[in-house]
Amino acid sequence: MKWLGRLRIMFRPDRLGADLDDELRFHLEERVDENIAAGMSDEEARRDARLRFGNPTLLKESARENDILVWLETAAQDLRYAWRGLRRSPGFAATAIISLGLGIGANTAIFSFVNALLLKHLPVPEPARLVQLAEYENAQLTNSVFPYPFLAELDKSNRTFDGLFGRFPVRVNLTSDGVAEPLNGEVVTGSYFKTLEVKPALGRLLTEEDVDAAVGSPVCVISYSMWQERFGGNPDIVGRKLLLNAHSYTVVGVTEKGFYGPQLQSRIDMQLPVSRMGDFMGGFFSTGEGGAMWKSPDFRWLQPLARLKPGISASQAQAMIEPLARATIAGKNEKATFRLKDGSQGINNGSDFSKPVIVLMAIVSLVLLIACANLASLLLARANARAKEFAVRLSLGASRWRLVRQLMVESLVIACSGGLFGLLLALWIVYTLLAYLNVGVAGGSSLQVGLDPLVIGFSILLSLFTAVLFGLAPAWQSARPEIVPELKGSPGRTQLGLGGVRIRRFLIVFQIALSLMILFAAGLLTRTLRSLKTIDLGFDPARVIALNVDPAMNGHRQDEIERVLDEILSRLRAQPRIAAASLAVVAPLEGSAIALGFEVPGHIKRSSDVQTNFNMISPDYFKTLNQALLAGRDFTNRDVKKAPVVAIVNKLFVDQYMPGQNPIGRSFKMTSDVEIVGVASDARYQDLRETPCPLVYLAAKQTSNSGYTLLIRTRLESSKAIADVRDAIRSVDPRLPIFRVRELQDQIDQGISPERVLSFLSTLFSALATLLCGIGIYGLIAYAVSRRTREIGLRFALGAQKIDVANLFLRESVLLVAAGIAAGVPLALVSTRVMKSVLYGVRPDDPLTLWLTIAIFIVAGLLASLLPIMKAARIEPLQALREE
Amino acid sequence: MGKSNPDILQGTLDLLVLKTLARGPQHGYGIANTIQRISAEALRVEEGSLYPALHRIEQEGWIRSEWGVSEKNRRAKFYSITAAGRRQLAREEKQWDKLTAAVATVLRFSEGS
Repeated sequence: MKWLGRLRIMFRPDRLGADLDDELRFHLEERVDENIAAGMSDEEARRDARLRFGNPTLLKESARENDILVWLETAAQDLRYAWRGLRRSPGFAATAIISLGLGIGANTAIFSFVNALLLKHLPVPEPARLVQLAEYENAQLTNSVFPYPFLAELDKSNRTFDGLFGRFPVRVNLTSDGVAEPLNGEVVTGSYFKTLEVKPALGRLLTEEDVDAAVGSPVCVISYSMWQERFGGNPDIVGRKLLLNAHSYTVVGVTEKGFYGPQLQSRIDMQLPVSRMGDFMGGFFSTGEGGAMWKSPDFRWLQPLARLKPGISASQAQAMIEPLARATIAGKNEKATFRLKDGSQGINNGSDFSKPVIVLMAIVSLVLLIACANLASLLLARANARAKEFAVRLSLGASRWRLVRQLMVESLVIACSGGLFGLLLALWIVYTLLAYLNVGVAGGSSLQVGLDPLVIGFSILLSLFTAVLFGLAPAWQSARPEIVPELKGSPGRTQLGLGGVRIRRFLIVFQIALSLMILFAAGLLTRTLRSLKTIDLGFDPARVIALNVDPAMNGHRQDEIERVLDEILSRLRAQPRIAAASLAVVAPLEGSAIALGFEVPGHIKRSSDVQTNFNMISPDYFKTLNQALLAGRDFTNRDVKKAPVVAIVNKLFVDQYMPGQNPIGRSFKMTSDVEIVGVASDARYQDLRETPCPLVYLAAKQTSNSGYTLLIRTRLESSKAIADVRDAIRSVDPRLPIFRVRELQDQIDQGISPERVLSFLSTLFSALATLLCGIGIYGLIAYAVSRRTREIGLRFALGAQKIDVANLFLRESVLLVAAGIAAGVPLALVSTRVMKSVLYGVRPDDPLTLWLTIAIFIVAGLLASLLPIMKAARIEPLQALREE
Repeated sequence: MGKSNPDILQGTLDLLVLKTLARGPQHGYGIANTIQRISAEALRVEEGSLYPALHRIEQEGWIRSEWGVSEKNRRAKFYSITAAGRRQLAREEKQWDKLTAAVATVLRFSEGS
């Protein structure tokens, strides 16, 4: 009823005014008539009628206040008014919009990463029902890869899953017209598509028969984007034969658009049967015993993902599969427990960037809070300057609500402008950051960071939220000035003046405390980066080129592989610009590792001694990496399959298994006896942050491998030698795919790019926060000085020295900074404790960093108050007294 | 505005308007006169302030209006009470009774002490 009435009026707004006019006129006329009848003169009658009636314009306005149209009209008025107000003080407007824009921009940018890394789900139906399987021992994750028979058994015999599959990512070399093209593929078990519920865009998908047969069919399914980009969307693709790693495969179908495999961070181009694994792993796996490895119950390699039946929770399912899983994997480890983890983001959702991104999100939200506090403070000062204007308007009959509304509209205008600026800034930050992070990353990443509707919605909400945050208190304050003193022209004594200053002092302390938190965190992160950069790697990565080669990808058999690699190495060594070249199965610091079991005679086994890390290397490995060989000899070309099996171990290995003894000439047991012929110095192996561990190097030619990392030390700048390296490899086999050509130093640098980004951005944001604080302190002191100009003049006139006056304000700023630091230090110490896992080589309460942070704030506080204090000291007493 | 005429207590205007209209449809001028006459001139509506109130009450749905012709053949807007208005009137009367009873108690109490 109420709304109906308003709507009716809205559609015929002209009628409302006319109606009301008519009605009021009728009333006046009636009154005049009655007055005349009672004996008044015509003029008297009209005067009395009007007196009794009151102010018609005012009444009309308040009668109309209830209408939407009027509401819209006044909103437009408020907007125009706010716009004019901001244009009148461009300095204020620019400061406000820029500082808010920086805050919103940083938040939007980081949120878009949060969105991409933490909030996105796998683009399949009902991703919430997907779970990952992992094996734990004593609450420690011990395994997230499993043997094929285990997964197949679990898939077949349980009633909790709609499907469970395993997959393993492989590199695929697609050859067409003699050109090699590296692709990202994966070998998958039969329930893959059934579990993910992916539909074909064309043809059919892989079935259990294709996949799980003793020797699977040579078929593959390609992704929609591969079909579009590589094959031009040609529908003839189904049935087409592709040469993959020199084997002929038939394309049977195309997956639906937007599907890139079960991992969010990588883009998979094709799915292949798990039973054809030998074609893609090469080397040992390509023939005989190795060819059947994929179904070995001891070979743990497949990453699992399962889909829960509708209505079954992960914990229910876990309870149901536990006994089954333990029975199936029986005898391996009684202490093992199995857990189901959230799989809605696919396999292995723990990106390197997840944690840094959360830390950054916390930091930028603090920056935004600081920006809001600054704005609130600015607005309070501005409101104070306009107190007289408000008093006049209030005394002329404006309602307080109307004033509050007007100020809120002004805040909204600032917030929206800031939000728009922030959105543009965010776009720029995201693209710059992505470009920075993607340098040298081979293979497509499906990490889609961008301004999708969620991110844009976030930034709009943020803008509105900030408007309320910084706008409401000042608006409320300024709508209640004491009218009379303001109009009498004695500002500074009003309630607003004092209340405003109190709030502003509080805001400054708040800002300093938050900034201190950020700065301290940034300090710790920067020291983390430095610790990581100055780690003694145990080898020298400068001027070393690394690249991956795999002769099996071009159809070479095991015996040929060795010949091809030997040929490449000898041609490389002949190059004048190349100092040394060698091969390694595990490239240093790439995150990969090979762990094998062994036995040392005479050594009593502890539980941690069951396995240790291995690497298979060619001669000259230590020379190429400048890693010291402490005793014994390097491998030679005579260490081949027929010769006695030899190993080089690192110093830690000796310390742990043969302390105080000469290891040279001693043996340990693997499938055969292995004789130690050399001792190498310790070097980082898998990850920069690891604690160095015992390591065994085996001679590459005494093991069976195909995929290697080729390491080449150059004499000059390595970038110039890359062409030479390519030429040398091409001259041996022009169709051999070379991938991931990189400089080792770059690769290591990239390994710490999360830390680098974190350190850089947190430093940037903390500088921004400190700057905002400085502006805040400056503003408050400058305001105090201008408010007390007269008093200062009086003090000077009564004989005060400049230093006394300066002390007056210095004390205020010192007190503010001290209060801020006192509030900030405990906050900082508590908050950095949760950051512990992203720190390295520095304690979360590192005293040096803390003192440095405090020192920076003291200096910043003094600097910020210096200008206004100098101004106070220069005040001319006579002029100041005459001014008011 | 802050003059010392016997302004009607805020909020009681609604009650008076509804009560007046419960006796039959009236135009604005008539409502103002009725309130004054019945209260024996003790309550005086600042006549102009009646109209915003009428407008508001109409939007609440407690009264409705239509244009008609007055006794003196002038075009006038006539207001009449709706069913919702009668319910509201009942509510407000009850509240008013409560309030006056409370005030009376307080007054007697302070006289007695």
